[in-house]
Parts: sequence; C-alpha cells; structure tokens
Amino acid sequence: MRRWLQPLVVLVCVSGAVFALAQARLFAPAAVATAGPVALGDVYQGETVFQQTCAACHGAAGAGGGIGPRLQSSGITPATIQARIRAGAGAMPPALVSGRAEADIVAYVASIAAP
Amino acid sequence: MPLFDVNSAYTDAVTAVFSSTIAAKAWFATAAVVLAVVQVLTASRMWGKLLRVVPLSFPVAKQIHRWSGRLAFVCTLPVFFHCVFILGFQTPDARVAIHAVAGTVVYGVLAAKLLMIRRKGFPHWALPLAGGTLAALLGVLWLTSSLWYFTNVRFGF
Repeated sequence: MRRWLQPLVVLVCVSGAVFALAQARLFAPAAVATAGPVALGDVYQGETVFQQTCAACHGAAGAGGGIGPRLQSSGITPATIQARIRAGAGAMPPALVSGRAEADIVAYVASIAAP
Repeated sequence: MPLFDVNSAYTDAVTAVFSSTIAAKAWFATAAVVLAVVQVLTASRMWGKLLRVVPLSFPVAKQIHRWSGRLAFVCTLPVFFHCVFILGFQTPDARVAIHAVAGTVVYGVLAAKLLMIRRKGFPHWALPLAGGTLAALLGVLWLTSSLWYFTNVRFGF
C-alpha cells in the first residue's frame, strides 16, 4: 500500500502545481485593456476566433489572399477595426462577432496590424 | 524582463515558422501524439506483444521507446507554455473543460509513470496501465484541441 503512495503523491502534487500555474496565467495578456475608447480583449483568444471567423477572407493570420484585405502590417487602428466589425465593410456582414469575442478580435488584429 | 516581452518573444518565435501560435500548438501536439503512438507500439513490443507488427529486437525497441518519449515530452513544452501560462484553466464548454482537466493531470501521470519506472516492486500491470493512461490522455488532449482546430478552424501551418 505504501508503495502506491509515492506515485499518487507525485501525481497529485504535479497536477496541483499545473492547475495552480494555469489559474495564475502568468503570461496572459491583460484581460481587458483600452486603446482610447476601444476595449481590447485577449490577443490569444482573439487569434482563435479570428482564424475561425475571419481567416477565410483575410487569410491565415490576416496575411491576405482571400476576398478580404490584408490586415498584417496594415496600420489599421483598434477604433477602425471595431467600427468595421460592427458596421461591416464590402462583403463582410455587420456584427460577425460581438461582445467579448469582438474585443478579443480587435486586440488580435491590432497586434498583427502594427506596421 | 516585463511579461509583455515574454509574450512578444514567444509570439515572434512561433510565428516565424507557423501562421499563428494556435497553429503551432496544434502541430506540436500532433507531433507529440504521433510519438505517443510510437511509444505504445514499442512498449507493446517490450512487453512481448505485437511482435509481428513491431519486428524489432528488445534493445532497439527500448531505445526507440526512450527517445520517442523524450522527444514527445519536448514537443509538449511549447504547448504547455501556451496552454498553462497564457490561456490558463478554462471551462467555457465541454470540449475545453475536458481539455483543461486532461491537460492538468497529464504531467502528473507522466511524473508518476517515471517514478514507477525507477522504483521496483509494482505489479506487472502497473507500468502498462500508467503508460496507457498517459497515451490516452495525450489522445484526449489532441482530439479536443488539434483535431478541433484542423476541422473547425483550418488545416495548415
């Protein structure tokens, strides 16, 4: 019985440490920052939503190649990104995403749009 | 170094090769799962099973088992960094919740398995059980992340 104790203790301790680190999210971007009046969400969450929702037209990581314009290094501002998402532009319908997902995408696109 | 710089350095390094950090995570996890399959096959050979499927001598199977395990562990490190240090423990839906729980315990199972290799006196079924659990956890992690990414987001680097 005592033989089994060591692996079990190791299992619990290592898993507990991983859980604690995951709760701490030491390198997570700021939950919500602001760029002027625009709320910026989580860049990494925005990346996933972008690849799922926007990449078909704007290309993987906004590199272009689809019917949407290239976003990488485009210099587009967070306020403009938010406005385009909400109002739509060209073939892009308005409000493809909203709320938290919108803030996350704005943060992600702003991060790749920096010239 | 400010935390922001760690994020930037990580993102820059990863996107130098992959289209995004999420894509990198999906491919590193895929490599780890492929190596986990190698682990299961060589372990089976070492335990006298699948001799026709894995026609390797015991020493060769043992070496491949060790090195594929080390390589699989290395492949999980960037995934670990991204999942644990950036994304954190989340439960917005069943897929992510299952992924989070499996990801939380996978290194614990690995550590327990490595301990069982070093310490003698466990029943003969203990090590295969630990290794099988580890491989199954990696499979669950891959199914709930990489497969989801490849089928719902995009299949590509």
